[in-house]
Amino acid sequence: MTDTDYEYQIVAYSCTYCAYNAADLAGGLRMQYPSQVKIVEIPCTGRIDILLPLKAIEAGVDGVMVAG
Amino acid sequence: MITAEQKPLAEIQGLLGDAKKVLVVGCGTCVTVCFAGGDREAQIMAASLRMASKINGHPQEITDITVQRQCEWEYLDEIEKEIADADIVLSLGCGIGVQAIAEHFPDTWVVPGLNTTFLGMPTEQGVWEERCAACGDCILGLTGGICPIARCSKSLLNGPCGGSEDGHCEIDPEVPCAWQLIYDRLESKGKLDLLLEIQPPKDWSKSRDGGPRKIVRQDLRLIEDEA
Amino acid sequence: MSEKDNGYLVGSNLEKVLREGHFAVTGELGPPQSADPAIIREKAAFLKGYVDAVNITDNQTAIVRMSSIGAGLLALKEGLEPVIQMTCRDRNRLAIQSDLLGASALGLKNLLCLTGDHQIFGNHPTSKNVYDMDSLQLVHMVTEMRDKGIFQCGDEIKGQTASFLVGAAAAPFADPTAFRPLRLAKKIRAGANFIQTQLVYDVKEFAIYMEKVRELGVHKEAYILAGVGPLKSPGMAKYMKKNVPGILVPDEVIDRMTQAGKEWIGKKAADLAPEEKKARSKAWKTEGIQVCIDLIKDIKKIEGVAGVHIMAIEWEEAVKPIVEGAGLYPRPEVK
Repeated sequence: MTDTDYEYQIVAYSCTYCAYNAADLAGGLRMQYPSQVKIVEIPCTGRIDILLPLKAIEAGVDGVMVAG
Repeated sequence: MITAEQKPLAEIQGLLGDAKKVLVVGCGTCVTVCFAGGDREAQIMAASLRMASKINGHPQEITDITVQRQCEWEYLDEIEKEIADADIVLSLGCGIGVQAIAEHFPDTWVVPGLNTTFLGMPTEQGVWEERCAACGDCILGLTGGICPIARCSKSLLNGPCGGSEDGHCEIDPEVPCAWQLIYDRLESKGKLDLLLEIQPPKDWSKSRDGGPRKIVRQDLRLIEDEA
Repeated sequence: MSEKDNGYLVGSNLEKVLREGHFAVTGELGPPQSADPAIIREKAAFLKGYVDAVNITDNQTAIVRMSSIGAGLLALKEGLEPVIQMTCRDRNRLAIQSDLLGASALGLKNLLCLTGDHQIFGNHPTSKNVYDMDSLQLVHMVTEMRDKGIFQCGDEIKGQTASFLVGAAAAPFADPTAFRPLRLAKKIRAGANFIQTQLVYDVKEFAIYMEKVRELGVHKEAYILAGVGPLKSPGMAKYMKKNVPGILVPDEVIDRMTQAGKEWIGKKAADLAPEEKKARSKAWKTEGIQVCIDLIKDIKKIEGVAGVHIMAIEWEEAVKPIVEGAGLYPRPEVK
């Protein structure tokens, strides 16, 4: 496998009030984003605890994004 | 409260060796408050060890559980089954918790995940300081509520040594001079005369120097056979 | 002070010199980090005849060295009178009393009681310290051994007890400075017969301290010896001013040391030829000795100062020119 065919798996923890809404709006506008990004809606980025990204990484994702 | 900090992960991995089933036991009291060994830290520790064991190519089955207090038999009874199921127990309790597990579950091999550091308190967010040495003979009444046994680097009883400078101890600019603190406090309370009294050598037999200590309260004991 | 039949507490040379009202001079000898007696003899030769007694340090700065008592006995054999230093860092009350019985039996008569530098500064920073007692409690304990013939626990010492002229240290400029004269008084009340102070470079501040000491009247109850020491370079002066707690070095002293090497000002050590470096060092050292002499002359004028304690560790050769230059040679002969 070369770097180019590897599909990175990313979890995006997104605040329900902004980043999650933005993603929703982007969808509404028929904008595309890579399917390997998995969006997890959270009530606020203040909800982020080290345990959340840790569990995602343990489950095998390559990166964690916190958007808010 | 008892203040502790986690051992480095590599040291913990060394203590665990190649045990197949590891149980991480957190403690819900002192070490939770100092963010060293509570439920959250136990979960993080278990996740970190699981990932480390995968990276090393010898995946271990690592689970975690947290009890209210590792230092009481009743709370330990609650996790008897989980303990029996594990090859090794990693206690994130203080040194008392580790020993309580060892004593309560003689068939279990338990190792410490923390270094128990001191009796102290958080002085600000993220900062803990030692306050008490549990010397068994409290003299805070003479020193304005500031303990020279725990907080003076030399545990002096008769005032500051020559190493007090600008309020700190000569061993480290970050360490306040306990005797400067005592002096300031006694001065502000008009009690400097307390400092002029010669304090005799301390009775260390009431401290750890007298051997392991024990308190027996007959009024509280459950005596089964009084007859 | 309780006194024995001969009128002296212990009859050491230092006690006699002080009692007769001479301006006393004590020196300091640091034992080697080895078991080599020749080093003690070499250092003793520089001091003999120029000091009334010499302090033998006890694992100074928490670095392991030949014991104060062992080195003190060697110095005694060389004709010097030792002042044994005893710290509370390395020994508990059992070890201290036992060592002092031994030291007294060997004929050592003067003792300086110290708390001791914290072991973190030395070459065994991972060791466990003792601090069973502090220096003040040590002063009291050895005074009671001598005067009441009792051990710290209260048991009687059957037979000959350990008798020492008891000394203590004082740090006039350490914090909290307002407490320092009171702490000195406390040490004297605990039994100290003589006091040796931390290094004095600021005579004005020292005079202020002594004024407070005189107000307390304790200068009449113990002999106060001011600590002095020759500077080797302006760098050493600046280092002490900045880094050593309880030492004040006034700018004029630093300026004098800097001026002594003015020929080489602005030149880095690496750019100097070996002979130039030697010449600069010699110029600095000559001035350092002169500064020390001038300090002694000024300190001698302060009421209540009974002598000087010259600390020229690893530079014992400097003691002779200092004592001579300060007009303190020859030392008095006392019987």
